[in-house]
Order: sequence, then structure tokens, then C-alpha cells
Amino acid sequence: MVSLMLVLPLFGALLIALCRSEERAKWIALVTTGLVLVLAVLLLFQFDPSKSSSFQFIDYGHWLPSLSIKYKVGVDGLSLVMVLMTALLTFIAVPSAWNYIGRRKKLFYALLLLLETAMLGVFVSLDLLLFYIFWEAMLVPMSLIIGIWGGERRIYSALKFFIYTFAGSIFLLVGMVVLVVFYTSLTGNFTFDLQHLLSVKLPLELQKWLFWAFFIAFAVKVPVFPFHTWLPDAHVEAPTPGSVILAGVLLKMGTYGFLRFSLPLFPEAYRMYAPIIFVLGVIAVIYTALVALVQKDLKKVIAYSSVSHMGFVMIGLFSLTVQGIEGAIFQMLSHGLVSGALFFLVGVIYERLHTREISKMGGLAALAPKLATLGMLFTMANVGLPGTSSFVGEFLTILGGYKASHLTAYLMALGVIFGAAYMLYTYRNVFFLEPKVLSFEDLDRRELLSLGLLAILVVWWGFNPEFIMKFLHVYTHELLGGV
Amino acid sequence: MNLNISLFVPELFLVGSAILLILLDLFLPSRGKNGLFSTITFAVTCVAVVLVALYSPFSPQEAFNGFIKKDLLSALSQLLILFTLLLTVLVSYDYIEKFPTGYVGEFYYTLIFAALGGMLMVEANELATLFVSLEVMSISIYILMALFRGDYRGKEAALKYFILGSIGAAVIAYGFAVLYGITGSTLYPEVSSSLKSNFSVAALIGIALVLSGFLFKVGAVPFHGWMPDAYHGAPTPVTLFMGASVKVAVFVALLKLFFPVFLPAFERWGEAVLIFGLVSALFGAFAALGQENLKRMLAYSSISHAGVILTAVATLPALAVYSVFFYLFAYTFMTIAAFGIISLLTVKGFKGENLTEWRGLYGRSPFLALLSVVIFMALAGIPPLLGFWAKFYVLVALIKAGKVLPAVIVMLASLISLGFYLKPIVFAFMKEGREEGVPVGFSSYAAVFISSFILIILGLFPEVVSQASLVSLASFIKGTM
Repeated sequence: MVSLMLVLPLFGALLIALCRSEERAKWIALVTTGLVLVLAVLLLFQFDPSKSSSFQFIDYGHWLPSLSIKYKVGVDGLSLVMVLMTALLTFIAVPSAWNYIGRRKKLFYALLLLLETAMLGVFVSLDLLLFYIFWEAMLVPMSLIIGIWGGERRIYSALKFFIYTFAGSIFLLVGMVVLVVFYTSLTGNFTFDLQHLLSVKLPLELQKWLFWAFFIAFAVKVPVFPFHTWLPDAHVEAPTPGSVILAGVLLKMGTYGFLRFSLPLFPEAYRMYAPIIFVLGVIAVIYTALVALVQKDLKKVIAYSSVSHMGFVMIGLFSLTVQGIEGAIFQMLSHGLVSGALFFLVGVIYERLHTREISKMGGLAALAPKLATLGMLFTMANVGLPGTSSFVGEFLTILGGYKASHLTAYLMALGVIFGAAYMLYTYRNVFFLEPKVLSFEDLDRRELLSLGLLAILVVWWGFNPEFIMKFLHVYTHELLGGV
Repeated sequence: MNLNISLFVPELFLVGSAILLILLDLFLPSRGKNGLFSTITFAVTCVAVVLVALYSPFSPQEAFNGFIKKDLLSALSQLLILFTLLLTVLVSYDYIEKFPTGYVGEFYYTLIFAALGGMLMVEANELATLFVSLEVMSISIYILMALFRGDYRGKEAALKYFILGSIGAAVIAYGFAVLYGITGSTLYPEVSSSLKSNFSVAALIGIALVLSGFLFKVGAVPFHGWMPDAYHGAPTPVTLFMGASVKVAVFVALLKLFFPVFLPAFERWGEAVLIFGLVSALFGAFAALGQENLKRMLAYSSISHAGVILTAVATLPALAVYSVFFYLFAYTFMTIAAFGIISLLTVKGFKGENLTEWRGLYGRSPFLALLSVVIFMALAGIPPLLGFWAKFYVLVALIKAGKVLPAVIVMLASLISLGFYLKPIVFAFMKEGREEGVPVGFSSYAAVFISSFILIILGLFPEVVSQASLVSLASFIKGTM
């Protein structure tokens, strides 16, 4: 079933390539991503939460026997949540591109589907090299999406994104091979299989080196301060669906990597360097929140807010407490939904006004009440209002941070206040104040449906986080038990 | 006397066919010659592929009193060279249709002789044989570069390459002479056993000279000066052939000479090769960044790739043969595809090698633009394309040999390379250009399509190449014991 999810988008992309009509491409993409979402939901219901620490639905085959590299995919609690989020956001990205992408539609939707395969592949690979291949393969379609359909500085941003991420991952590849060669020297068995590699305890000295090798790759993706400079460029220049995917899914690949590889493989180094991560995380939370406060471009506000929120996730992950890690995973999911929705909203406004300058907006609430209502909901969700899913994530990560270090938690809470400041300030400038535009079309049915779906989920999981959390309890306990 | 001439059937067949072509060339009128000669060459090459496959022994066999030794490493390398020849013929047919030359016949049979030289190089088991076959290949290529009428850049490149190449050859010859003076023999096994029992400083000088000559031929720093001019100036199909087949022939010859024969001094030349390799990998990548001409850019990128292969040579012998062969396999098809697409896009008044002409390529020929993504991403080593696996095997070899820092440097070079491999893609997709397309020839299109298709399919299923590298390694080791 997991393999089917990986193959479906490829098949859809092929179909788009073969079909002649430019207009039909988006329908094919919608149906394909829809089917993948259905599969993801089915997976959710068939998954056994009481065994969420072990991998289920494993598909397995030899791929490169001479180096014993396997095609091995499967999901545990963490992967399941990530797969669900990816399927959901790619499905939402299609309607967000509906009118925004005006030219070369076939190419766009084909790339989007290729991207979906690569993203899902990252979250379900159980072989290190397979993971790396999906991780890298994703760069090409994403850079093309930014570079072809992006804004004015699109080429610069696309190249920066590509080269920055690639720079991080070269250390990942070297680190992986060093790890595997070391494993081979211990056991005589050359393999990239994660489950085998977890069975040996690495000496601390090696753990330290490998931790940083993996850290650079993941930190660029998250992005952890000070590796975040590619993100505002990429986000601002990317077309709406690109931003939705970037903020919603791509950033989580980094944090996923920390949980999937760094923590189980290098537990001592992970614990040892946690204080450094706390410092970087707190800087990300507060500094980028302050930066967001002074942005004039609506998209930049949300881009910096993403960096700030990922700071919470990082602190949660490195708090090494049940609350912190569960909260971080939940926050990953929740931030995916909320930031995806916010970028969608920005796209909606941009399509109508052809500007993202906050100073050129204002008074939209009177002209577009539906937009303003949903905007309010997602603004509040981004602030972390109780009743929305973000509250659950932020609260738990702060709790985890508090258990690990009181000061960190206080500073994180300060970040929440700044977060409220820039979000509310932005909301006021866009939706209230003097109207600066004469006419503004409210949301149409397509936009309403897609944003409505996200809104329902944000509120539902805000009130009933256990629906997701139940897949994480056993996973987190096992994970921390092993450390 | 142990001639064992039956082992030599593929090579004899090629020589015979080339001579036949020379005779045909004398008697046929020049009209329609391109079609006829390219078809004959294509067919001859196909037969040669079958013959090489039929006459490839797993257990190494000697011919001509041990002057020639065939094993699977040499057979598979010969197949690579012949595939290069096949696709070169496809590209050349279109090129000659676009840019006529008075020397059609000469072009095709010289191409066969060049391939033949390469094929002999990879199975040479004696120093003089190696030298002669190297010269057969090099001289054929000098001629090929200068064959197009009115193409002064090509003639200039040929002259430059000829002068510098002769110096390179002279250095190799001098090294061989020194080795002969010390050991009293030119046969690999005898040189090898003599060096094993009595290793002197003079032998080291001989090895150093031979190594410099080889480094010259693969274009490693600091012997790379001729590369950009030669690659740039040569007619694109010739650049294609030279870029792919010379690398294969010289590197395989290097493996077959250095590992069995010079093994006693591995510690010394291994270090040197590693350093030359790393410097080349970095230098090539940095120098290519500034190029606006794709052929020059690919010349520098080829310096960088040669550097990466050299670092793999400097690992342990077994790892080296395995990863070098894998890399050469991938590199052959990447080179063919890259120069193939440049040749395809070049018509009168429209130079496919200028980056600015790539503007808006997606708008006029979307499929070619997509192929160019495959080709340049494969060269950059992005998975899941064949180029990634080549890089990965080198990485595994380096780290297994305990050389982690060189591995990081190789990866850094590939990061820098990304900066220029992305350029054509940026121009093709992200910049607007003229709308009307360039007429593309079917046969070179086919060559580009086939080689890019190989980059994708074997990238998804690299086991085939991996097995090929493994058996050639096994056969090679069997031969040296």
C-alpha cells in the first residue's frame, strides 16, 4: 500500500505527459493527489496504534544487491502522521495552483506529482540510501517550480534553494557512508538498512562527528538559525502552491530527519548537544519573530513566522521528554496545515491585487467577509490560540522545554507573545483600517472548499488532539526508552 | 610462438573494415557518401560489438606472445568504446549534413582507427604495444579535429592538441624507456617481477614519467592546459568521441598497468594520484563556473570528473577497479548525451554551445529541454540518475579506504559543479528566448535520447552496471595473480 502511494503520483505525471490538453492536467493532478490522500486516510485507519513504535506495511525488495541497498518502505507512528500531512497538503496545493499557474500547466502539475513521490518517499524510507535519494531527488522539481513560476527574483531564489540544500546534504551522504562502513567493520555486514544500523551502539567520538554531519543537512532544511537565509527568498519568490509545499512539507523533512536518524543513531551526542540546539532554537523563536514584525511583504511575515515556529519544534525535539517530542510532532503537523493555509490565503490576495505589499492592502474585511473570517481563524491558529491545533503543539513543546530547562521555556513563551504581536498587527493592516482597494472578490467555491477543509482539521485536532496523538504515544515512549 | 590469433578476431575485423572503407573512398563519387559511409560504419561497429561480446573470456587469455591480454575488464571497456563509436556515428551523420566536409570517407575510417587504438590500449600487456595503440588513438583524433573545411578553430585546436599531445606521448615513451633500461623487458609480467625484487629510485622516476603522461592524456591538473581549447575547438562529434573514449581507454590502461606492475610503489604513486585527483576535481569545478560556452564548461567539468576518477584510483586496488569502471561507464553516457545535445542544437547561425542560445529552449522543444535536465543533473550527480551512483561508488571506495577528508573534498567539488550544471537548465526553462525552433536531425536526436534513457534506466536499476564492474574486477584480479 505504501508503495502504491509512491507509484501513483509517478503514474499521474506520466499520464499528464501523455495527455495533450493543458487544461486536463490539473484534473489529473487533482484526482491523483486525491487518491493518494484517500490511501493515506485508509493507512491511518488500518494502522495499529498500539504498535506505533514498529514499522507496519513494510514493502521490501532488493534493489542493488551488490551493495545490499534495499528498497524498503514502511510507516511507524511518526511516518504515518507525516505521510498524512504530505498527502493532504499536496492535495490542497492543486486547487491553490488552479488559477495561479497560467502557463506551462502540464509541466507544473507533472513536477508537483514528482515532488509528491519524492516527499512521501522521504517519510517512508527505511533504507538510509533510499532516504537520501528521495531527499535529493526532491530538489529538482522544487527548484524548477520556484524558478519557472516564481516572482521577480525567482532564478536567484531557485538556485539558492538548490545549492543551499545540496550543500547540507553532501555531509549527510558522507556521514551515512562513514556510518555504514563503521557498521561493516563491526559486524561484517554491509547494509544501509536503518533497522540493522540501529542495533549497534556507536562510540561517542564517532557519534559526535556523525551528529554534526547529519545536523548540517537537516538544519538547512528545517531551517535552524543561522541556516535559514534561503527560506525567505524561496518562500517569497515561489508560486503559491510552491510555498504551501515548502512551508507545509519540506521544512518538516529536516525535523523528521532529527527524529528518525539523529536521535536513535547518536543518542549520546544528541543529548550532549541539546543545549546548543536550545540556544539556536530560542534565537530562532525570538529573533525571527522580531524580524517578522517589521516585514512589509505579507509572504515574508509568514515565511519568518515559519522559521520561528520551527524553533519550537526543534526545542521540543531536543527536550527529550515525552511531552516535548509528542508536541513537536504534533506541531509539525499543525504548522503544516496552518502555514499551508496562510500561504494559500496570501496567494488568494495576490491573485486579486497583484501585490503582496501590506501597505497596499487594508479594509479587506468589509469587501471579503469570508476571506476575513477564515483569515482570522488561521491567524489565531498561527498565534496558538487554545482550541486550535497549534495551541496543543506549542503548549506541549513549551512544557517539554520547561522540563529540560526553565529559562528556555520562559523565552519560548516570550516568542509566543511576539508571535501574537506580528500576526495580529499584520491582520489589522490587511483586513481592517482604511480600505485601500475599491473592489475585491470574495473567495470562490474552490478556495472556500480547500481552506474550509484545512480550517475544520485545525479546529478538530485542536479540540481532539488525541485523534493524532494516539499514533504517537507508543512510538515516543519506545523512542525515549531506547535513549 | 603463441599467436593465438583467433582471440584477435574483433580487432582484425575492424582493421579490415577500415581498410575496405579506405578503398571504397577512392572509387566512390562524393555525392551521398555521408549516408553510405555512416551506415557502413554503423553496421561494422554493430558487428564488432557482437564479436567483442563473443570473444570476451572470463579467464584472461594472452595473444601475440603475451603482448595482448584479454580479460573482462578489457572486453567491457572495448564495448564502451564501441558504443561511443556507434553513437558518435549517429551524431556525426547529422553534423556532416549540416556542415559538409570534403573528407567524409576519411572522417569515418579515421573514427574507426581511433576506436581501434582505444580498444588495443585496454588490452595491451606490453609497454610498446600500449604506446603504439595510444598513438594510434591520439593521431586519429588529431586528424579528426582538423577535417572540417573552413573550420579554423578546429584546425587551431588540432595543432595545439597535436603539439602538446606529442610532448605527453614523449614523456610516456621516456618513462617506458627508463623502465625498460632497469628491468630489461617491456612485458608487464616481467617488468612487474623485476620491480618486485629490485626497486630503485630510477624505477620511481620511470613511474613518475609514465604517470605524468597519463595525467596529461586524461587532462588532470597541472597537465590540463590543452583541454578547454581542444574540447572547444574540435567539431562537436569529435569532442564527444574524444571526451568519452579517451577517458575510458586511458583510465583502463592506467589500471592495467599501474596495479599489477607498479604495485610495489603503490604507497608513493597512490598519494600523488590522490593529490592530483583532488586538485583537478576542485580546479575543474571552479574554472567551469566562469564559462559561458558549454563546450568549454564541459571541458573543465571533464577535468573535474577525471580528478574524481583519479581519487578512486588512489584507493585500494580492488575498490579502485570496481569504482573506476563504474564511473567510466556512467561518464561515457553522460558525455555522449551532453555533447550530443550540443551538436543537435547547432545549425548554421545557431550555436548550441552558447549558453544564451539555450534561452527559452523549453518553449520551442520541451522534450529536449527535459532531456537536458536529465543529462546535466546526471553530470551533477543528483539521484536517481546514473551519475549519482558513479559518485556514490567513488565515495564508498574512498571511505572504505579510510580517506574521509578526500571524500568530503570530492563532494565539495560536486557541490561547486552544481553551480554550472544548473546554468543550461536555468536558461532552458527560466529565461524567455526566441520562439521558432531549430530543425533537429533524427539520428543525433536518437543518440541523445538513447544515452539519456540509459542514464535514467540504469540510474533506477544500477545493479546491471554494478555487476558488470564486479565481473570485470573479478576477471582482472584473476589475470594478475
